[in-house]
Amino acid sequence: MDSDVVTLFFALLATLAQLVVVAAVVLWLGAMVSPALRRARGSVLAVVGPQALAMAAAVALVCTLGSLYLSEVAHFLPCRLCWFQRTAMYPLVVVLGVAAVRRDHGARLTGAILAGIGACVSIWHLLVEQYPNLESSSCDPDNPCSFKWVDQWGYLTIPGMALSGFALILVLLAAARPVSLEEQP
Amino acid sequence: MTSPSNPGAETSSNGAVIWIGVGVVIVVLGIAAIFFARGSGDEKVENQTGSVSVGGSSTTTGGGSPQDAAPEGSLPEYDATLAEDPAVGMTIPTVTGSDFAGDDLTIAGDDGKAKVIVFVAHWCPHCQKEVPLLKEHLDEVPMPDDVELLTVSTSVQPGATNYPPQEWLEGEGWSAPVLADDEDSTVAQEFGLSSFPYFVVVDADGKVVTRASGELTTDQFDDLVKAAQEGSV
Repeated sequence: MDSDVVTLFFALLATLAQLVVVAAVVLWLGAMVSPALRRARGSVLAVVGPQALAMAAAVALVCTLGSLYLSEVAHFLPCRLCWFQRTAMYPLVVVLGVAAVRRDHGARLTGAILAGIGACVSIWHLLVEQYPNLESSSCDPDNPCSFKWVDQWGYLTIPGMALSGFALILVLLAAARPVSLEEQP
Repeated sequence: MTSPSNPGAETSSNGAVIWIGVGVVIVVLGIAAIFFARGSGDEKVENQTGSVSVGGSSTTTGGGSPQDAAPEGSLPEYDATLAEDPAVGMTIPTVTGSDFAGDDLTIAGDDGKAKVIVFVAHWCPHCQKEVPLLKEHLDEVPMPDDVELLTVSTSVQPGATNYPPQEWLEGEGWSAPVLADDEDSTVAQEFGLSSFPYFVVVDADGKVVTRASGELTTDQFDDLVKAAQEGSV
Protein backbone atom coordinates (compact mmCIF):
# COMPACT_ATOMS: atom_id res chain seq x y z
CA MET A 1 0.00 0.00 0.00
CA ASP A 2 1.15 3.53 -0.74
CA SER A 3 3.13 4.95 2.18
CA ASP A 4 1.29 8.27 1.82
CA VAL A 5 -2.01 6.53 2.57
CA VAL A 6 -0.60 4.68 5.56
CA THR A 7 1.13 7.78 6.90
CA LEU A 8 -2.11 9.76 6.62
CA PHE A 9 -3.94 6.91 8.36
CA PHE A 10 -1.47 7.06 11.26
CA ALA A 11 -1.82 10.83 11.36
CA LEU A 12 -5.61 10.52 11.57
CA LEU A 13 -5.28 7.95 14.36
CA ALA A 14 -2.86 10.25 16.19
CA THR A 15 -5.27 13.15 15.83
CA LEU A 16 -8.09 11.00 17.20
CA ALA A 17 -5.85 10.06 20.12
CA GLN A 18 -5.16 13.75 20.77
CA LEU A 19 -8.89 14.51 20.79
CA VAL A 20 -9.55 11.69 23.24
CA VAL A 21 -6.73 12.88 25.52
CA VAL A 22 -7.97 16.47 25.45
CA ALA A 23 -11.55 15.32 26.16
CA ALA A 24 -10.32 13.18 29.05
CA VAL A 25 -8.34 16.04 30.58
CA VAL A 26 -11.29 18.44 30.21
CA LEU A 27 -13.60 15.88 31.79
CA TRP A 28 -11.17 15.25 34.64
CA LEU A 29 -10.65 18.96 35.35
CA GLY A 30 -14.31 19.79 34.83
CA ALA A 31 -15.36 17.10 37.28
CA MET A 32 -13.59 19.02 40.02
CA VAL A 33 -15.98 21.93 39.68
CA SER A 34 -19.10 20.63 37.99
CA PRO A 35 -21.40 17.94 39.48
CA ALA A 36 -22.74 17.21 35.99
CA LEU A 37 -19.25 16.57 34.64
CA ARG A 38 -18.50 14.49 37.73
CA ARG A 39 -21.46 12.26 36.88
CA ALA A 40 -20.34 12.14 33.25
CA ARG A 41 -16.84 11.13 34.32
CA GLY A 42 -18.30 8.38 36.48
CA SER A 43 -20.37 7.09 33.59
CA VAL A 44 -17.39 7.12 31.22
CA LEU A 45 -15.18 5.36 33.75
CA ALA A 46 -17.88 2.77 34.36
CA VAL A 47 -18.03 1.93 30.67
CA VAL A 48 -14.42 2.40 29.60
CA GLY A 49 -12.62 1.43 32.81
CA PRO A 50 -12.94 -2.36 32.52
CA GLN A 51 -11.72 -2.25 28.91
CA ALA A 52 -9.05 0.42 29.34
CA LEU A 53 -6.14 -1.90 30.03
CA ALA A 54 -6.80 -3.90 26.88
CA MET A 55 -7.31 -0.69 24.93
CA ALA A 56 -3.98 0.66 26.16
CA ALA A 57 -2.33 -2.57 24.99
CA ALA A 58 -4.05 -2.17 21.63
CA VAL A 59 -2.79 1.42 21.32
CA ALA A 60 0.77 0.25 22.09
CA LEU A 61 0.42 -2.51 19.49
CA VAL A 62 -0.81 -0.07 16.82
CA CYS A 63 2.03 2.34 17.64
CA THR A 64 4.57 -0.48 17.45
CA LEU A 65 3.24 -1.77 14.15
CA GLY A 66 3.15 1.79 12.82
CA SER A 67 6.72 2.39 13.89
CA LEU A 68 7.86 -0.83 12.22
CA TYR A 69 5.94 0.04 9.06
CA LEU A 70 7.60 3.46 8.83
CA SER A 71 11.10 2.02 9.19
CA GLU A 72 10.83 -1.36 7.48
CA VAL A 73 8.34 -0.67 4.69
CA ALA A 74 8.41 3.08 4.10
CA HIS A 75 12.17 3.10 4.83
CA PHE A 76 12.07 6.16 7.08
CA LEU A 77 15.33 5.66 8.95
CA PRO A 78 14.80 5.97 12.74
CA CYS A 79 17.07 8.52 14.39
CA ARG A 80 18.64 8.25 17.85
CA LEU A 81 15.66 9.81 19.65
CA CYS A 82 13.26 7.62 17.65
CA TRP A 83 15.06 4.59 19.06
CA PHE A 84 14.65 5.86 22.63
CA GLN A 85 10.90 6.20 22.02
CA ARG A 86 10.79 2.71 20.52
CA THR A 87 12.55 1.40 23.61
CA ALA A 88 9.65 2.73 25.68
CA MET A 89 6.82 1.78 23.32
CA TYR A 90 7.71 -1.77 22.26
CA PRO A 91 7.77 -3.31 25.77
CA LEU A 92 4.37 -1.75 26.46
CA VAL A 93 2.81 -4.21 24.03
CA VAL A 94 4.00 -7.12 26.17
CA VAL A 95 3.57 -5.49 29.57
CA LEU A 96 0.05 -4.22 28.90
CA GLY A 97 -0.94 -7.16 26.71
CA VAL A 98 -0.12 -9.71 29.40
CA ALA A 99 -1.70 -7.49 32.06
CA ALA A 100 -4.91 -7.23 30.02
CA VAL A 101 -5.14 -10.97 29.53
CA ARG A 102 -4.42 -11.70 33.19
CA ARG A 103 -6.49 -8.72 34.37
CA ASP A 104 -3.45 -7.70 36.36
CA HIS A 105 -4.00 -4.05 37.12
CA GLY A 106 -0.79 -3.96 39.13
CA ALA A 107 1.02 -3.59 35.80
CA ARG A 108 -0.51 -0.16 35.34
CA LEU A 109 2.34 1.49 37.22
CA THR A 110 5.02 -0.19 35.07
CA GLY A 111 3.13 0.78 31.96
CA ALA A 112 2.67 4.35 33.12
CA ILE A 113 6.38 4.72 33.87
CA LEU A 114 7.35 3.41 30.43
CA ALA A 115 4.76 5.59 28.71
CA GLY A 116 5.82 8.60 30.77
CA ILE A 117 9.47 8.17 29.81
CA GLY A 118 8.48 7.73 26.17
CA ALA A 119 6.31 10.85 26.29
CA CYS A 120 9.19 12.88 27.73
CA VAL A 121 11.51 11.75 24.93
CA SER A 122 8.81 12.55 22.36
CA ILE A 123 8.46 16.06 23.77
CA TRP A 124 12.24 16.56 23.60
CA HIS A 125 12.25 15.23 20.02
CA LEU A 126 9.49 17.68 19.08
CA LEU A 127 11.52 20.50 20.59
CA VAL A 128 14.59 19.42 18.62
CA GLU A 129 12.52 19.41 15.44
CA GLN A 130 11.27 22.89 16.22
CA TYR A 131 14.54 24.26 17.57
CA PRO A 132 17.33 22.22 15.90
CA ASN A 133 20.04 24.22 17.68
CA LEU A 134 19.09 22.46 20.93
CA GLU A 135 21.20 19.50 19.83
CA SER A 136 23.50 20.80 17.11
CA SER A 137 24.09 23.76 14.83
CA SER A 138 24.38 21.57 11.77
CA CYS A 139 22.64 18.61 10.14
CA ASP A 140 24.22 15.18 10.11
CA PRO A 141 23.89 14.09 6.47
CA ASP A 142 22.94 10.57 7.50
CA ASN A 143 19.99 11.07 9.82
CA PRO A 144 19.66 14.05 12.13
CA CYS A 145 16.96 13.98 14.81
CA SER A 146 15.71 17.32 13.49
CA PHE A 147 14.88 15.75 10.13
CA LYS A 148 11.13 15.44 9.57
CA TRP A 149 10.25 12.33 7.62
CA VAL A 150 6.57 13.18 8.01
CA ASP A 151 5.05 16.62 8.40
CA GLN A 152 1.28 16.22 8.26
CA TRP A 153 -0.81 19.37 8.25
CA GLY A 154 2.23 21.40 9.21
CA TYR A 155 2.32 20.16 12.80
CA LEU A 156 2.11 16.40 13.08
CA THR A 157 5.48 14.68 12.79
CA ILE A 158 6.51 11.16 13.82
CA PRO A 159 7.42 12.12 17.42
CA GLY A 160 4.11 13.98 17.56
CA MET A 161 2.34 10.77 16.64
CA ALA A 162 4.37 8.88 19.24
CA LEU A 163 3.51 11.46 21.90
CA SER A 164 -0.18 11.07 21.01
CA GLY A 165 0.15 7.32 21.53
CA PHE A 166 1.99 7.65 24.84
CA ALA A 167 -0.52 10.23 26.09
CA LEU A 168 -3.50 8.06 25.16
CA ILE A 169 -1.91 5.07 26.89
CA LEU A 170 -1.43 7.17 30.04
CA VAL A 171 -5.05 8.32 29.95
CA LEU A 172 -6.30 4.77 29.47
CA LEU A 173 -4.10 3.49 32.30
CA ALA A 174 -5.51 6.23 34.52
CA ALA A 175 -9.04 5.18 33.56
CA ALA A 176 -8.45 1.44 33.90
CA ARG A 177 -10.60 -0.24 36.56
CA PRO A 178 -10.85 -3.94 37.38
CA VAL A 179 -14.65 -3.75 37.12
CA SER A 180 -17.17 -1.03 36.57
CA LEU A 181 -17.34 1.35 39.53
CA GLU A 182 -21.11 0.99 39.58
CA GLU A 183 -20.74 -2.77 39.94
CA GLN A 184 -18.35 -2.65 42.85
CA PRO A 185 -19.96 -3.82 46.09
CA MET B 1 -40.92 -13.19 36.43
CA THR B 2 -38.14 -10.92 35.35
CA SER B 3 -34.57 -11.77 36.14
CA PRO B 4 -32.44 -9.30 38.10
CA SER B 5 -29.93 -7.32 36.11
CA ASN B 6 -26.63 -9.10 35.57
CA PRO B 7 -23.66 -6.70 36.06
CA GLY B 8 -21.20 -9.12 34.48
CA ALA B 9 -23.28 -9.49 31.35
CA GLU B 10 -23.78 -5.72 31.15
CA THR B 11 -20.04 -5.11 31.39
CA SER B 12 -19.40 -7.68 28.70
CA SER B 13 -22.03 -6.05 26.51
CA ASN B 14 -20.55 -2.58 27.07
CA GLY B 15 -17.10 -3.95 26.26
CA ALA B 16 -18.30 -5.42 23.00
CA VAL B 17 -19.94 -2.13 22.04
CA ILE B 18 -16.73 -0.22 22.79
CA TRP B 19 -14.56 -2.53 20.72
CA ILE B 20 -17.02 -2.51 17.83
CA GLY B 21 -17.07 1.29 18.03
CA VAL B 22 -13.28 1.45 18.00
CA GLY B 23 -13.20 -0.90 15.03
CA VAL B 24 -15.73 1.19 13.11
CA VAL B 25 -13.78 4.39 13.80
CA ILE B 26 -10.54 2.77 12.59
CA VAL B 27 -12.20 1.56 9.40
CA VAL B 28 -13.66 5.03 8.77
CA LEU B 29 -10.24 6.63 9.30
CA GLY B 30 -8.66 4.08 6.96
CA ILE B 31 -11.19 4.87 4.25
CA ALA B 32 -10.63 8.59 4.82
CA ALA B 33 -6.87 8.10 4.48
CA ILE B 34 -7.27 6.23 1.19
CA PHE B 35 -9.64 8.88 -0.12
CA PHE B 36 -7.70 11.98 0.95
CA ALA B 37 -4.21 10.68 0.23
CA ARG B 38 -5.11 9.90 -3.38
CA GLY B 39 -2.92 12.00 -5.64
CA SER B 40 -1.07 13.65 -2.81
CA GLY B 41 2.09 11.56 -3.29
CA ASP B 42 5.42 13.30 -3.55
CA GLU B 43 6.29 13.43 -7.21
CA LYS B 44 9.91 13.41 -8.24
CA VAL B 45 10.68 16.74 -9.90
CA GLU B 46 13.12 16.88 -12.81
CA ASN B 47 16.53 18.58 -12.62
CA GLN B 48 16.68 18.57 -8.81
CA THR B 49 19.69 16.30 -9.16
CA GLY B 50 21.94 16.18 -12.17
CA SER B 51 24.79 14.35 -13.77
CA VAL B 52 28.08 15.56 -12.38
CA SER B 53 31.58 15.10 -13.75
CA VAL B 54 34.66 15.39 -11.60
CA GLY B 55 37.77 16.39 -13.49
CA GLY B 56 37.25 14.29 -16.62
CA SER B 57 35.17 11.45 -15.18
CA SER B 58 31.39 11.49 -15.21
CA THR B 59 29.39 10.19 -12.27
CA THR B 60 26.11 8.39 -12.41
CA THR B 61 23.15 8.09 -10.11
CA GLY B 62 22.65 5.69 -7.22
CA GLY B 63 22.38 5.55 -3.44
CA GLY B 64 24.97 6.79 -1.02
CA SER B 65 25.72 9.40 1.55
CA PRO B 66 28.23 12.23 1.44
CA GLN B 67 30.20 10.44 4.13
CA ASP B 68 30.91 7.44 1.94
CA ALA B 69 34.50 7.05 0.83
CA ALA B 70 35.33 9.90 -1.49
CA PRO B 71 37.29 9.45 -4.71
CA GLU B 72 41.02 10.11 -4.78
CA GLY B 73 42.00 13.76 -5.16
CA SER B 74 39.04 15.08 -3.26
CA LEU B 75 39.23 17.22 -0.14
CA PRO B 76 39.41 15.29 3.15
CA GLU B 77 36.22 15.11 5.17
CA TYR B 78 35.78 18.24 7.23
CA ASP B 79 36.33 17.81 10.95
CA ALA B 80 35.60 20.94 12.95
CA THR B 81 37.38 19.54 16.00
CA LEU B 82 40.79 19.56 14.32
CA ALA B 83 43.02 22.51 15.19
CA GLU B 84 44.33 22.64 11.62
CA ASP B 85 42.21 21.71 8.64
CA PRO B 86 44.29 19.43 6.37
CA ALA B 87 42.37 20.70 3.35
CA VAL B 88 43.75 24.23 3.70
CA GLY B 89 46.11 24.90 0.82
CA MET B 90 44.72 22.09 -1.31
CA THR B 91 43.37 22.88 -4.76
CA ILE B 92 39.66 22.27 -5.00
CA PRO B 93 38.46 19.58 -7.39
CA THR B 94 36.90 20.72 -10.63
CA VAL B 95 33.28 19.64 -10.87
CA THR B 96 30.93 20.19 -13.77
CA GLY B 97 27.21 19.75 -13.64
CA SER B 98 24.12 21.79 -14.22
CA ASP B 99 21.79 24.14 -12.45
CA PHE B 100 18.08 23.51 -11.91
CA ALA B 101 17.34 24.85 -15.39
CA GLY B 102 19.69 22.29 -16.89
CA ASP B 103 22.33 24.85 -17.89
CA ASP B 104 25.97 23.82 -17.44
CA LEU B 105 27.72 25.03 -14.32
CA THR B 106 31.34 24.39 -13.37
CA ILE B 107 33.10 24.90 -10.08
CA ALA B 108 36.82 25.05 -10.70
CA GLY B 109 39.90 26.34 -8.98
CA ASP B 110 41.62 27.54 -12.13
CA ASP B 111 39.17 30.25 -13.14
CA GLY B 112 41.06 32.93 -11.21
CA LYS B 113 38.10 33.82 -8.98
CA ALA B 114 37.98 33.66 -5.22
CA LYS B 115 34.80 31.99 -4.09
CA VAL B 116 32.64 30.93 -1.20
CA ILE B 117 30.84 27.68 -1.91
CA VAL B 118 27.76 26.92 0.20
CA PHE B 119 26.41 23.37 0.37
CA VAL B 120 22.77 23.07 1.42
CA ALA B 121 20.20 20.31 1.80
CA HIS B 122 16.55 21.21 1.33
CA TRP B 123 15.42 19.02 4.27
CA CYS B 124 17.97 20.37 6.75
CA PRO B 125 16.35 22.81 9.21
CA HIS B 126 19.69 24.58 9.75
CA CYS B 127 19.94 25.24 6.01
CA GLN B 128 16.33 26.40 6.02
CA LYS B 129 17.32 29.00 8.61
CA GLU B 130 20.68 29.92 7.09
CA VAL B 131 19.53 30.59 3.53
CA PRO B 132 17.03 33.37 4.36
CA LEU B 133 19.49 34.85 6.86
CA LEU B 134 22.22 35.10 4.23
CA LYS B 135 19.74 36.25 1.57
CA GLU B 136 18.65 39.15 3.75
CA HIS B 137 22.25 39.97 4.60
CA LEU B 138 23.36 39.84 0.95
CA ASP B 139 20.55 42.21 0.03
CA GLU B 140 22.12 44.75 2.36
CA VAL B 141 25.78 43.83 1.89
CA PRO B 142 26.24 42.30 -1.58
CA MET B 143 29.17 40.05 -2.35
CA PRO B 144 32.29 41.99 -3.43
CA ASP B 145 33.07 41.87 -7.14
CA ASP B 146 36.20 39.78 -6.60
CA VAL B 147 34.47 36.99 -4.68
CA GLU B 148 31.92 34.66 -6.18
CA LEU B 149 29.17 33.00 -4.17
CA LEU B 150 28.24 29.54 -5.41
CA THR B 151 25.72 27.08 -4.03
CA VAL B 152 25.54 23.31 -4.23
CA SER B 153 22.17 21.70 -3.60
CA THR B 154 22.98 18.21 -2.41
CA SER B 155 21.60 15.20 -0.53
CA VAL B 156 18.30 15.66 -2.33
CA GLN B 157 15.55 13.38 -1.04
CA PRO B 158 12.20 13.37 -2.84
CA GLY B 159 9.51 12.84 -0.25
CA ALA B 160 11.42 14.63 2.48
CA THR B 161 10.25 17.99 3.71
CA ASN B 162 10.82 21.13 1.68
CA TYR B 163 11.21 19.24 -1.58
CA PRO B 164 12.00 20.24 -4.30
CA PRO B 165 15.11 22.30 -3.50
CA GLN B 166 14.61 24.51 -6.56
CA GLU B 167 11.24 25.68 -5.28
CA TRP B 168 12.68 26.26 -1.82
CA LEU B 169 15.68 28.31 -2.98
CA GLU B 170 13.68 30.30 -5.51
CA GLY B 171 11.03 30.91 -2.88
CA GLU B 172 13.69 32.33 -0.60
CA GLY B 173 14.85 34.61 -3.41
CA TRP B 174 18.28 32.96 -3.46
CA SER B 175 20.04 34.40 -6.51
CA ALA B 176 23.49 32.79 -6.34
CA PRO B 177 24.16 30.12 -8.98
CA VAL B 178 23.13 26.65 -7.76
CA LEU B 179 24.79 23.44 -8.88
CA ALA B 180 22.46 20.44 -8.58
CA ASP B 181 24.49 17.59 -7.11
CA ASP B 182 23.83 14.05 -8.31
CA GLU B 183 21.95 11.37 -6.37
CA ASP B 184 25.21 10.09 -4.93
CA SER B 185 26.03 13.56 -3.58
CA THR B 186 29.32 13.33 -5.47
CA VAL B 187 30.16 17.02 -5.28
CA ALA B 188 29.57 16.99 -1.51
CA GLN B 189 31.90 14.00 -1.19
CA GLU B 190 34.52 15.66 -3.38
CA PHE B 191 34.54 18.72 -1.15
CA GLY B 192 34.64 16.70 2.10
CA LEU B 193 31.19 17.60 3.42
CA SER B 194 30.45 16.20 6.86
CA SER B 195 27.36 18.22 7.85
CA PHE B 196 24.99 20.91 6.58
CA PRO B 197 25.17 23.77 5.89
CA TYR B 198 28.77 23.57 4.74
CA PHE B 199 31.06 26.33 3.51
CA VAL B 200 34.28 26.02 1.49
CA VAL B 201 36.27 29.20 1.07
CA VAL B 202 38.60 29.30 -1.93
CA ASP B 203 41.14 31.94 -2.94
CA ALA B 204 41.78 33.23 -6.45
CA ASP B 205 44.39 30.49 -6.99
CA GLY B 206 41.83 27.78 -6.33
CA LYS B 207 43.29 26.82 -2.95
CA VAL B 208 41.16 26.14 0.08
CA VAL B 209 41.49 28.97 2.60
CA THR B 210 39.15 27.63 5.26
CA ARG B 211 36.05 25.53 5.72
CA ALA B 212 33.11 25.77 8.09
CA SER B 213 29.86 23.98 8.82
CA GLY B 214 26.67 24.68 10.72
CA GLU B 215 24.64 27.84 10.99
CA LEU B 216 26.81 30.95 10.69
CA THR B 217 26.03 34.46 11.81
CA THR B 218 26.25 37.19 9.21
CA ASP B 219 29.49 38.39 10.82
CA GLN B 220 30.98 34.91 10.48
CA PHE B 221 29.88 34.81 6.85
CA ASP B 222 31.52 38.19 6.23
CA ASP B 223 34.72 36.78 7.72
CA LEU B 224 34.60 33.94 5.20
CA VAL B 225 34.15 36.40 2.33
CA LYS B 226 37.08 38.44 3.62
CA ALA B 227 39.18 35.27 3.92
CA ALA B 228 38.42 34.44 0.28
CA GLN B 229 39.50 37.93 -0.76
CA GLU B 230 42.70 37.92 1.23
CA GLY B 231 43.58 34.27 0.78
CA SER B 232 43.99 33.72 4.49
CA VAL B 233 41.86 33.54 7.61
